[in-house]
Formats: sequence, C-alpha cells, structure tokens
Amino acid sequence: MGDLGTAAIIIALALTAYSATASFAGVRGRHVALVVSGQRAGYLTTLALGVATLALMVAFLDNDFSIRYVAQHSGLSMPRIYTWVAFYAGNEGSLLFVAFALSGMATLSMAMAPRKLGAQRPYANGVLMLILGFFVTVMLLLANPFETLATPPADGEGINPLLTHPGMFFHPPLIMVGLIAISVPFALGIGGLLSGRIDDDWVDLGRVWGIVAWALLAVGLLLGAWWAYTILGWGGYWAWDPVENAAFMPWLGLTAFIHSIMVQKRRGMFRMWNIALINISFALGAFGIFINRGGPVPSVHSFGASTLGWVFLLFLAIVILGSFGLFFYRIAVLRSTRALESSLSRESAFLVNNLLLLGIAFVTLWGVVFPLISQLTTGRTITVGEPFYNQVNGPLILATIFLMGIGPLLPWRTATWRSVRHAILVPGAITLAITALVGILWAREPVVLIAVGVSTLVAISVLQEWGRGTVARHRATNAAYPVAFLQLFASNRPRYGGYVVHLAIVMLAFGIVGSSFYNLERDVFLTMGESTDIGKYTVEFTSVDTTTYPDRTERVANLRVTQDDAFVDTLGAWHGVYPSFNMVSTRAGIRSTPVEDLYVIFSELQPDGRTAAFRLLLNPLVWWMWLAGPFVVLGTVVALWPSRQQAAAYVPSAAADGPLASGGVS
Amino acid sequence: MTILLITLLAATVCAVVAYPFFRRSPMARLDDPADELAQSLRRARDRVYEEIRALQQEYFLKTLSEKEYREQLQAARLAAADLIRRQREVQETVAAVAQRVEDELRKAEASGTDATIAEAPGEQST
Amino acid sequence: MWHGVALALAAAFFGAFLAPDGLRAQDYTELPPELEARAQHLYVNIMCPICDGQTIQQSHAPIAADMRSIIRERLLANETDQEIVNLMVESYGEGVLASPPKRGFALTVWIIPPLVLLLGAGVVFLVIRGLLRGARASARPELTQMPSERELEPYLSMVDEEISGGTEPARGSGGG
Repeated sequence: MGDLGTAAIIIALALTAYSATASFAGVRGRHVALVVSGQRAGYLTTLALGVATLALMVAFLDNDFSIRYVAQHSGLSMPRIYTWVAFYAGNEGSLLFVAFALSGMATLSMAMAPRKLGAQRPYANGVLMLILGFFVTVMLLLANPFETLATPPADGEGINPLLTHPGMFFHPPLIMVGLIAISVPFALGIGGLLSGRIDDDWVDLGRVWGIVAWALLAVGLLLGAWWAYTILGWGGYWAWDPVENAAFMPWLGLTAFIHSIMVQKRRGMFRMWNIALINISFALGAFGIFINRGGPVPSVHSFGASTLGWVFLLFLAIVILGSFGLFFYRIAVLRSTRALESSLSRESAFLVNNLLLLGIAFVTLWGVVFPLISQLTTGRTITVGEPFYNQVNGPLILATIFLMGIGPLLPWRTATWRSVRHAILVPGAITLAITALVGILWAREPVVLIAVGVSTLVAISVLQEWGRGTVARHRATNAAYPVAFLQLFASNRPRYGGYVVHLAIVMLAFGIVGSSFYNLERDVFLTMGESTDIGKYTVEFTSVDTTTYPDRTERVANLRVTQDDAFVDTLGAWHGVYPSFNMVSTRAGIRSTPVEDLYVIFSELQPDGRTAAFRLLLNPLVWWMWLAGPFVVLGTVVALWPSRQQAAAYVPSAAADGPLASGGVS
Repeated sequence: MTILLITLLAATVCAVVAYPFFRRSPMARLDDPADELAQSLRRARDRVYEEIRALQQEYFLKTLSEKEYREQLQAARLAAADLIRRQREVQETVAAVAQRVEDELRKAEASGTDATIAEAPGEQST
Repeated sequence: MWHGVALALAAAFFGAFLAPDGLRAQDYTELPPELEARAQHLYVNIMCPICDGQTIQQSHAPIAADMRSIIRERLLANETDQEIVNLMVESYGEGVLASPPKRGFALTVWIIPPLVLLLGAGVVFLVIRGLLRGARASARPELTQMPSERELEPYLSMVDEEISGGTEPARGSGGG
C-alpha cells in the first residue's frame, strides 16, 4: 500500500506539471489538442489522488503499522468508524486530504465551465494545477503520508480522544475544504487577467464557487464553535484564537467578494474590487494554512513541529506578489467604464460593505500578528486577547449588521433621500419601538441596545419585503399565500436565499449578545447529595457512574435540576481519563432551551469518590446560534439553486399594465 | 499486485493524456474572434435583460418609484437596442467579408490564375 | 494538525493532576452578584501564564484556579479592579494581561486599526467621488457614444418583444 500510495502521488505531481504547462502553452500557442490534453491531465489528478486516498484508507483499515502515519494516528482498539478522522488528523494525511479535495473541485469547476469562457478556462486550469502542484510537491518531498517505518510496531498510538466527537467528523474537513475551495474563484479571476478577457463571463461561475467556499467555511466555523462549547468546556464558543481567526479572515473576504460580485453581474462595475477581493481572500486562506502549520503564534491549536512553516510562508509570498502584480499590470483594462450615479445607492452601500468587512479582517489579522511584531521589535510578547477584539471589532460588526439592514432597501443606481426615508420609515419605527421595549424591560448597556437595534432592523426589513412580495404576488396571480411565498423565492433565488442567510446572521448576533452580556458562571465543589443554585435553577449532584475501558476510564456525574422545587431535568456531565495520552477530556451536560442553556462541566472527582468539582454556567440565547447553522445551509442552497430559463417578463401578464404595455416610454 | 496497479494507473493516464493528439476528427476552434464578439454582445444583451427583469420586480415590490423605474427602464432599453444594433453590424461585416472573399476567389478561378487564397471561404467565418 | 490540539490541551488538563493533594476542598468563596460580575470580567481579562493562549476563565489548570481564588479574595477585601490587575501583573508579568495596556509600545495595537480604517474610508470616498465624476462629466456615459434614440427606433421594438416574453433570451447559468 505504501508503494502504491507514493507512486500515485508521484503520478499526480507529474500530471499537475504537465497539465499546467500544456494549458498555458496550448492557449498561448492556440494549439487546441494541447489544451484539451492539459485539461484531461487535470481531471486525471483526481484519479491519481483518489488512488492515493484509497491506499491510505486501506492501510488504516488493515492496521498496517509499517506506515508511520497509520502507526501514529490509529491503533488496534480504534473503532473502524474513526478511520475517516484519523485520515486528516495529522499533517501528512491532511495534506493529502486537501490535495484530493482541491483536485476534485478543480475537475468539477473546469467541467462546469461553459464554453463561453473560451481562453479563460485553460488559464484558470493552469493556475489550479500550479496550486495543486505546490501541495503535492510539499507532500512528496517533506510530508509523505506513506513513509514507512523500518520496524513496524505491534500496535499504533491510537486516536486522540478529542477527535472522537461527532463534531470532529465535520469541522476540520469543512474548514480545510472551504479554505482550499477559494482556489477556484481565485483561479478564475487570475485566468481572466492572464487571458486579457476582462468581460464579465466568469462572474457566474466565480459567484457559485465563491458561495460554495463561503458556505463551507461558515458551517465549519459554526461547527467549531459548537464543538468548543460542548467539548472544551469553558462555556464559551469563540476565543479569537489565531487558528480560528485563520479561517475567519478568508471567510470575511469571501463575504465581501460574493456581495461585490453582484454589482459586477448586475451593473458591470467593481471589476477591480472583485479581483482585489478574491486575491485578498485567497492570500488570507494561504496565510491561514501558514498559521495552522507554521506555529509562529501561540495558540491552543498550534502545532508541535513547525518545520513546514517556511514553505507555506513562501507560498503566501508568491501568491501575494503574483496575484497583485498581475492585478496592477492589467489595471487599465479593469477600470470601470460605467459610472456611479449617486453616492446614495446600493452600489455605494456595497463599497462601504467591502470597507467594513475588510476592516474587520484587518483588525483580526493585526491582532494575530501583533504578538510576533512586538516580539521582534521589543523582545516582549504582548498578548492580544478577546477584550481587544471585542472592543475594536465589535463596533465594526455592528456597523456591518446595520448595513445589512438598510442596504437591501436602497435602490440601484440612484436613491433620493426621500425615497430612502420612505423605505426605512416603517422598519425603522418598528425597530425603535422594539429596542425601546427591550431597553425598558431588560437591558441597560448601550452596546446591547445597539446590537438589538441593528439586528431588529435587519429582521424587520427582510420580513417586510417577504410580506409585501407575497401579498403582491397573491393579488397578481390569485395563488394561495403559501404558494405565493414560494413563488416569490423562486422568482429570484439568489436574493431571497441571501435574505435567509441574513436572518441566520441575526440569530447569531442574538445568541452572541445574550451569552456574552448576560451569562452567569460559578465554580463549585459538591459532595454527593449536595446542591447549589445558579440563576433560578437548583442543581443537585446525585451520583457518579464509572465505566472502565482498556484505554480509558469514563465517568458520568448525574445531576438533578430543579426550579422552585419542581423537577426540570437530569443532566449527565461526562469526564474521561486517557492514561496513555496523559489526558483528561470532558463533555458538558447541557440543558438547552431557546431562552437559555444550563451548562455543567464535571471538572474533577476527588480521591474520596464522593466530592467533585463542577463549573456551572447559565448562557442565555445560545440555542439561537446553533439554529443559525441550518439557516445558513438553507439560504445557500436556495441562492445556488439553478433557475430554469425564464421569459424576461417578471410580472405575470395579468398585471402588466406598466409602461411596457402602453407601447413604450416616451 | 502493487506493481500491477501502478502500471495500470500510469498506462491509463498516458493514454488519456495522449489521445487528443491522435484524434482524426477536427476539433473545435479555441477562439474565433468574430464569433467571440457576436457572442459577447449577445451575453451583454442578456445581462441587460436581467437588469430589466430586476427593475420590474423592484417596481412591482414598490422599492422603486415610478419616475425612477421609467428612467432606468428607458436607459436599459436603449442599451439593449444598441447592443442589438452592434451585433447586427458585426454579423453584417463578417458576412460582407465572406462575400468579398468568395467574389475574389471566383474572379481568380475565372481568370485561370492559381488561387492565392489557401483556405476555402467557409472557414473564414463561422 | 489536531495532534497539536491534543498535545496543547493535554498540557493544560494534565496540570490538574500534577498537584499532589489535588484542589483544595470547600474553599470556594461565594460572591454577591455585583462582585461576581466584576470577577467574571476580570477572569476574561487575565491570561493563564502557563497555558497557551487561554484566559483564567477558560483554563482548568490549578494555577488558573488559584488566580481566580486570589481575585475573589481581593474583591471581597474591597480592592478596585485596577489594583487587582496590578497585583496580577506584579506577580506574573505583563504577559498576563489579555489585552495590551493602552500605553507605551502596546498603544500601537489600539492606534493602528482606527488609522487604517480612516485610510480605507478615505479610499472609498475617493473611489465614489471618482466614479461620480465620471457620471457628471457626461450625463449618461453609456449614451454618449450611443446613437440617438431615433436611430435606435427600429431596434427598440425588438427589445420590447424580447422583454415581454415573445422570444426567450438564451441564458447561461445563474439566476437573476
């Protein structure tokens, strides 16, 4: 298996080299057969890397400990199902995983590329193959998953206990695939610059893959937050840790990109911005990969061995120099031929949107690298932690949410103050009323009120449009309201799918504000039978169940939750000790309602077996954050759903008494 | 066994990659400039139509005032009309060139001299 | 990658088992609500000195528990937040602050982001102005090179026909 795997990787490398060369040479020399051959070589990389992936999987399933990677990340007692996780658990395997994923997405995107892309496609393919070639080369020369051991051990080291949680089946792969998926819109953009074709045909495909990468990262980040909440056990879900930030920053760039590209699609403007945005997003993605594997910044996630760091730093440098060099070389052709008609228009709103999102990304980047800078300049390492990000990013995020609310209300091209006032009157009034109500009943902090205000504005303006649109369609077509609602969505899927995602962001904001400002936390010691209060709940420590396995000891502390003497729930807080890893892992007992989470961590059992240390938390509104996940997915699916070719007329003929019916506008 | 699989993979790869060079049938051209231009104008026109659709929807939903709608619709209609005009121009020019080439060829044949144009007129325009 | 996660967290958790007599029993002092809120706020702002990038609120290590305990004692002794923070910095060094102090070199952390944002806002402002100027210079730039309406008359009816659904435009991918 090891030989097959290594051979497959070598073949893959040869294919990427050939494919890139043939694509570039073929398109420049107008040699069609060469271009086609190069494209096919690109498709074949998926086959070769697929074979390598299979080889590694088989090695795991066969418990082939002669392969070092298998010995390091699995063991005889590891349940089969964890083979999937073990695959990407370590450096070498995750490189193969990323390479295979990139190869698959390159194949899919190039096959999907419509004929109208013409010369742009081979250039894009060439860029994708260069990126893939980089990863495969690193794998082959520095981190081969199929490296063998001279004397195979009898048993492997086993799988990390932290990885045996369902969240870990999805969070790392989603983040990794999401980051590498940015390669596709990036390659399309660069392909356009290289081919000199700066018209807008790549926009459709670029938008689709931009959204795909965005959605993968969004779900991956949410899953990571959920995993941190339920497993790492400090009651929080996001710590502005450099590795988390490494995935967050490209996601911000992609958010700006997928919004800004709408303007290019609709008005043919912002070409420069869009190329710059995708360049920045990909560079941030490459930076993220560097952070994950280089370990120059202290983090809970950071690598032990950081020998690969310089390679990814070099890659990052080449990406930045190459992509922006090309950008400035072609800048004359990218300049907008269309003009902006009003500073108050949706186009301007998108520009401000770009500014805010890039601003948040910059602040995050600044926070990540500053400890390094301070180390290099003053010798002291200054920590940049959560309070910094909260204070600096907080206002920017609130401003972005505000823009999310008023942006869709602004018309394209031009808006007068009167029309804006008219559009914002009803949502604005309702928002102020609700915010005032919240302020009177519950909250006093200004930040909370602002957050409530902007989130409510978004929700109300979205729901208002949904309502109006449904009613209008109902009147025009006499369809039942639910049908009219669905028809509304079908009439413009990108727009309404986007609205669903905006609502998901509002839910996220809701949950974050609730759990950040109104949470309660206590660390207590309880003996069996003793109880304690948190908020309006009383928690009693009733018993401990212990189960011993060959590689670990698991304990579950049973807790009885009551409220005003009425029984509410029993919770089980889980605690595991892994002697071979010298490690303790915990899983919180959580009672989750839309109002609040009661959250108990079983920290430690005392030697007497009857007293235990617990951490109790009351986190309001966290439930809403997890609800945002499915809504993000739903909104993405709706936005990406292909629409049938429709007649250009939007309004059903029954109601077409607008300007067109009267024979034209004079 | 492993050697067999590796050889199989390598052979498949080489075959698929080399095949395009040996195909007898003519393959599609990469980029025919005249065709390209006509197609690109068509696509630009489709984009204008999409914008008109969106304008109609926004007017329908009352996010656009009547005056703004009429103004922007007029601008879009004119833009689309101009694109049709330009597309027609391109097609006419290409047809005219093809016609001209054919005429020259016929003249050359009629006067008995060797045709100096190597390619048949049919390949000039698609 | 995730091997590293396990290693780092192992260091943090394992620490809990190093102390020979475990955690002290029954020494958790309860605080009244307003002090509890201050305590929570302080926990988030102080880093655990030996854990990689964790605050004492996040960390389960005994040293973090000790520090939290000290904070609680001091709060009950009516010390101000700043005095407690100073104590922490004296005992454990400046790196124990979760966010940089607003003086000295560390001030650059706080100054740079607003400066960069102002710069960015300036760029956006200039971009908008430049694009607007393009519009004002020629009232409708797309029309300046376009022929007059009369010349386009014959084509307009074709456009209207296509818009009203007479002819379906050929569309590629993507929705509207």
